[in-house]
Amino acid sequence: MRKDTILEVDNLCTTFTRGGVALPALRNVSFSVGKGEVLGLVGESGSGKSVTLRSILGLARHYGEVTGSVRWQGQELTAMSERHIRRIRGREIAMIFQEPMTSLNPLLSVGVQITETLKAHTDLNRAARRDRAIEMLDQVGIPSAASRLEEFPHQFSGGMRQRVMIAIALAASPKLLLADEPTTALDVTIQAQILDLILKLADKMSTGVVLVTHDLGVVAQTCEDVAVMYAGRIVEQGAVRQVLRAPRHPYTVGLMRSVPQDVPPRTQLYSVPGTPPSLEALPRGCAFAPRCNAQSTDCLAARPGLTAITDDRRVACFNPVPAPEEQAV
Amino acid sequence: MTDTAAAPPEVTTARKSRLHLALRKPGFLVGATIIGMSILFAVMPGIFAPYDPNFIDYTAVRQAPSWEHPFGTDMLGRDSLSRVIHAYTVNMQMAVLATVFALTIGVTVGALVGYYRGVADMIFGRVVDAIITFPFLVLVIAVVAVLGPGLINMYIAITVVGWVYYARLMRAEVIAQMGNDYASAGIVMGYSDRRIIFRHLLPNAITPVVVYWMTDMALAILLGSSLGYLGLGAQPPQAEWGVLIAEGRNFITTAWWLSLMPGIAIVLTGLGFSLIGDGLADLLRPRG
Amino acid sequence: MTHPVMKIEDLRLAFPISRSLLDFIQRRPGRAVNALNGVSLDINKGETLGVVGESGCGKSTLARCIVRLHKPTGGRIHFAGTDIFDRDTLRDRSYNRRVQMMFQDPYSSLNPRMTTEQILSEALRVHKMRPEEDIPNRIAELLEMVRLPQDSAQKFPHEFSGGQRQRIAIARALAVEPEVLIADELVSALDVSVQAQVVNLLLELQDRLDLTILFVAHDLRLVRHVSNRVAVIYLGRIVEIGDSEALFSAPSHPYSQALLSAAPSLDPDDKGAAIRLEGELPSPLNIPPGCPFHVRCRHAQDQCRADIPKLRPLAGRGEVACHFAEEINQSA
Repeated sequence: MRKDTILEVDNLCTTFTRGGVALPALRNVSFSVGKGEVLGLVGESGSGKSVTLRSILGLARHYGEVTGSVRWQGQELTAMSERHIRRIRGREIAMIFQEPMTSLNPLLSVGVQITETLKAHTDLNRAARRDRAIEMLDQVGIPSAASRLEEFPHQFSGGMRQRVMIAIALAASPKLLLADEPTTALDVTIQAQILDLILKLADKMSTGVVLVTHDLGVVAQTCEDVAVMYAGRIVEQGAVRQVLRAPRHPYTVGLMRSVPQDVPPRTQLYSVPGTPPSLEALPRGCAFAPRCNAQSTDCLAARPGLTAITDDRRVACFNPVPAPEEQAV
Repeated sequence: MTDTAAAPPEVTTARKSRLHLALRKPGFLVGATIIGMSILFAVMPGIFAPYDPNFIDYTAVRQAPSWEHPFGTDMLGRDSLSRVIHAYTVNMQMAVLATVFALTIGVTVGALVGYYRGVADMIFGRVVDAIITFPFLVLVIAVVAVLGPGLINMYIAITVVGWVYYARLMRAEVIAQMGNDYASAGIVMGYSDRRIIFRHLLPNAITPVVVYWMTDMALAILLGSSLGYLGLGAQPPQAEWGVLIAEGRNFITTAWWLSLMPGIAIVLTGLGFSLIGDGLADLLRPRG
Repeated sequence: MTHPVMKIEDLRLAFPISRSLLDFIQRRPGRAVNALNGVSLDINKGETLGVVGESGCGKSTLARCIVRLHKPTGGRIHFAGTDIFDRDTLRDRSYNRRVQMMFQDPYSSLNPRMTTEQILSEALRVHKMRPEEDIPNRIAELLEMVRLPQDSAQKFPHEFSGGQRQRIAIARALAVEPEVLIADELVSALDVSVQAQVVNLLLELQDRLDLTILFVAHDLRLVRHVSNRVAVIYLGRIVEIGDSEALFSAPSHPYSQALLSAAPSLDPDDKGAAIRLEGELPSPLNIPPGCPFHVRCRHAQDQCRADIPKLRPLAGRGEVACHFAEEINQSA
């Protein structure tokens, strides 16, 4: 169904243990990413979206138990040794984080941090690495790149730092970019610039992107496909246009309607009652059931699986919201 | 619009369970036992000591440890065990009296300069710099040399120098706490400075100070017995660990127990305070 | 009909940067972060005035000046006929009762060592809002008002979620029965679904208690939703102010236009006007001369580099600080 799939995540489960209690941070997460494709993972805090990225890269297994399969261009990452996976990290799969200040080393110049990545992952010589570093900074839109190579992270503004992070991440021309809330700490005008940049890279270098965010607007403007996560599970998955225009899972509906867009000003917003459950006290049935207005007895007793409702569209709900064809027009 | 906002099913007995957690930690438990025993010895040494600590028996001078005298006897035939136990009174008193005034002054001054900053804070900074560039012991000895030897003067000397360490710690912690919005909220609510400092900032800022206090009590015992050893603190025939070690010094090759036993008492008490300090850090930390 | 409860006139605030020894030796003049550069603003009774802008633009500083957490270096704030930084008014704690603030970070705005009951009763007692015997009843009422279960009274902040803590902060502010509420990024730290709950509560309480609200936030959609009027701030100056719906549907200042078009729409096919701002916010350490926005503005001309534009009414719109507002909006 999809050409050029590079990453295939199947039935990924991650469990952390805290104080002797097992926390199911991730359950049965499956998706795939194609070449040059941008997939959005949306959800609120604690929904498992960041854990998903860390589980893919083999970072989560240091803190918890990861089962399921992550196939990267035919290789199984979950079974790979730390030494082996390290060669894939940074070279083939790169990751950028939310806080650009804390993920850059404050004691090393930006140039050193980029060339370091190049040294680890490419065969370029010293001069070539420097040229490449300048090229990268240039590409991510940092003016007078050559002169800024010697500068340190604190000399860059928030947006510029995030560009540096992206430059570092992309230095070794990875085939997949995992972006964890890359624009959450930035202002909207800078956010727009950074998202444009990520899109351009996906387009030009056919880098696959998994973009984790809580902002549905970002998803709408950036991604082709989206997976909505709640309490460690994907509850709805499909093409962005379909999911955002006609959400089928009550949680997605609630998220969409909580955003004050196209509602009369100063009226009561639609709100999902209650708060997300904590992982140590997940309800027995559907994790969303206690907050759901379409809740039935089934929902409290059993957990709905993610099932395909059309070719490309999957929903984990016993009583999905009717499709728009049935409602209007 | 529905809006129940049910509280998450979390623990409601946080306080109790935290005490349990601290008690489950073997370190804290051992520390608490040692200090508990030390306090008992200090308060009623007569019950635990087998002999009068000042009873002189020239017929039994410098006897090696035996069933009759578990820690042996000293050069005047006094029972070593009884003297070590009786010394708890003065040494534990040192731990408290040498620190508690420094603690009170330091916490108050630190909280005030941390809250108001300004000129007072700049002056405070210079005072701190001036005092902490000197080694603590040298400074205390200097003060004792001026005031003359003896326990009271020793307490004064340690307080004069020691409050700075508490104040410095408290100031830093209060400034850190000021960065929290609850402090700003207090100002916006129109609360008095006194209320904000003592009711809001202090309880949140005090934890590291209390933990430091525990280590400081151990240090105070060490310092007190050092001064006693040098003849600047407690004076013989007062049973005090530093004095006891000094008395045994001349017989270190023949009657080693005279110096070793009070030495062990110092180490053990110090260990007890440190272990309690560790446990308290967990116990006092606010959650969330 | 609309009468201002608070008048802010030419408010300025510069935070001095401590000079290093080297600066001192080289006799370099002391530098300062110019957070507010002449903000004038009326807040009308019963309205919600939204304040938007990028981080570092001075919107939070403005909020903090209003509740006297910062003392401005210039200008005045009038409330109920008096200058709030007057020596007599400073001593008067009733201003703190009448103008209240709610903060952004739900994890630090409540004292972690006090229960909800202690937090609320302290506010009630200090300002003598109720006789001692009525305090428990009033606390129950306040909890009811912000829709927290009654057993919340005995709980500590760490036992609540972020949204619940913000409700406690709201209850604390309301305990002293204020007239003006300053909400500084009240819901920014909350999840989307919880944001809506808190915003709904705020709107409802405003109607019920006849509150005036200054709503400072960077989320433009949210500000549009709650505000009657909106002020757009750039580098410590108001560049545009006006009726919320009018401003959001047709912003007049080039900065407002760029800011609003940058907010990503929920509709995948609505790519927005795609006015992408070049570059970033200049540092408030050295604000460019002339119009502070000219370095990023597409329409900048020589006059913009020289003269600071004043806020002036634009026909059929609100007030705009732009030399060429007419031309820009004609061509658009």
